[in-house]
Amino acid sequence: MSRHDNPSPLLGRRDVLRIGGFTVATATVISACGEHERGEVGRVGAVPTTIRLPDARTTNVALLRTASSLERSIINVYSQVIGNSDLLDPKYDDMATRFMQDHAGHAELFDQLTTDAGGTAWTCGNPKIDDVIINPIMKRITVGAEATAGAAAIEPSEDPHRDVLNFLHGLESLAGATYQSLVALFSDPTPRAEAMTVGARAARHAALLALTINPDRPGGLVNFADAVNAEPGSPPTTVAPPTTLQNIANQATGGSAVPTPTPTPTAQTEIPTVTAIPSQFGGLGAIQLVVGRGDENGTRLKINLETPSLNSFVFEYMTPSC
Amino acid sequence: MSISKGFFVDNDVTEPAPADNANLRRRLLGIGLGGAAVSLLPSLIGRANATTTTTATSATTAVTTTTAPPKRPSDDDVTLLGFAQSVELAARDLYDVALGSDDFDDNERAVLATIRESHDAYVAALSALLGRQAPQVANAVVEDLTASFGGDGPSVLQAAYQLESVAVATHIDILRELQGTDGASLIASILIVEARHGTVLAHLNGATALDDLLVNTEAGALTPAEG
Repeated sequence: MSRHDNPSPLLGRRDVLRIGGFTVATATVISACGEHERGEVGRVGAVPTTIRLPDARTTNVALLRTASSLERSIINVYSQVIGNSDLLDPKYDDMATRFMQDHAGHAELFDQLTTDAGGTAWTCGNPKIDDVIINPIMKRITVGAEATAGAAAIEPSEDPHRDVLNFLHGLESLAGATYQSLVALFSDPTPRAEAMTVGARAARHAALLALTINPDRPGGLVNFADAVNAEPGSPPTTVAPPTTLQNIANQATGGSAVPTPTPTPTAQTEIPTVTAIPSQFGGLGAIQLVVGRGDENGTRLKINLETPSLNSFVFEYMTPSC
Repeated sequence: MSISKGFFVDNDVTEPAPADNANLRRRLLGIGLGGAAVSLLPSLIGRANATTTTTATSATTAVTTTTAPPKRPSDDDVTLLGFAQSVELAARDLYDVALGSDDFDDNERAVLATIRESHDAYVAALSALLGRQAPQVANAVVEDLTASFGGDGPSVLQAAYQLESVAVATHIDILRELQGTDGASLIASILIVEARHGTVLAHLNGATALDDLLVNTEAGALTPAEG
């Protein structure tokens, strides 16, 4: 009997194992190379489903809500200092109250524009600006800073009146710059014009505060360099140095900017002077604010006030929590 | 058993083998392809589903996304920005008239000269934006206000205060119509400083009321038709 009489079976155990292994391996490779949901990493095993972050779109509504939030953050600062003679000289209460009323009207205007644009009005302050700018500055002025492992505690400001006025000036300047910056972001001309109507008022607030803070003339009126460039042949007789320590609480000197008497052994960080007309064009750069008492090295708190951007816009998915 | 017999036997045995091996290979390939097809099926179904989802998302996006405004000035913008330049030219010329007077102290002169330079810079900036389409002609308001700017110090300061308010109101009206963001941004950067001019001029002129210092009542805007 030849071997033809007893042919091997078509598929032996080894063949079945080979086929099975080949099929599994092929399926694994093809599955691995297969299309997953776009933008998601393939996963193995059972894991909880991740929650997608909401879309943060810079729409007109988001910008208008941001404007509302900025107005309310500024109102919150005015409400803390008006009537508090430790923070604001009572002779400025009327002016500050007027400014706060203006901001309340602006907030209502932006609320209405938000609603008209189909959005939900934002009725709180700006969370980011409150956390990063307003609260730290107010704390540094009124409380100081706690001691840390590497630094001694810092006492409250030695001149809260000066710091509060400078802070208000910075906020008003920030508001004007913010509305100027929003002009390029709005997709529609109408909110641009409304924003700049408010921006013009904020700029006038800032100018009036600068005239109050800096009694130098013409230094408190116009930028010194601009004044010299305008009339090179006859420079102003009263010249404010570009950076001085302001001592507006010192009525004996008329609150003028004077060199530091330096009764303390450590020189304190100089506080930038302010000017009613600081430049020919409205600027969008950071506004540097220096407040509070200096630390053991004399370094005061420096904060750059910057116009709201993607990290401080009040997007449509956000809900107020005040 | 001779070798040749064995050879033949082997031939006999191995002769049909290629046919079996060929069948086996075909079957193996068939099974492999079948397995591959089965394994691809869920993936293909998933892709079909994913395609549907993506389409739906895109449709939603298309509904909510707003059209980005143009950057460069449109034809209508050019007319409006040219008008703005004519107003700035008029302001510069009027301050030139004011600075011809000796009725100002050093501070007042410094402020007026600085504001004059600012208006000149606005003219230049608008020229840069418009190029050859810039009109380079002063608005007719110059003729109306020249007498006011040639008076005594307080009246000049008052006239300048009014002029700055007119400029702010005019630029805000222009902003309501501008489509291009380049022009709108420039106008915004101009008017926010002109707003400050008014407060400083009021202060220089001795104003103490907040309504005056804050220019509570903005002057009427100039319009291209009037110009």
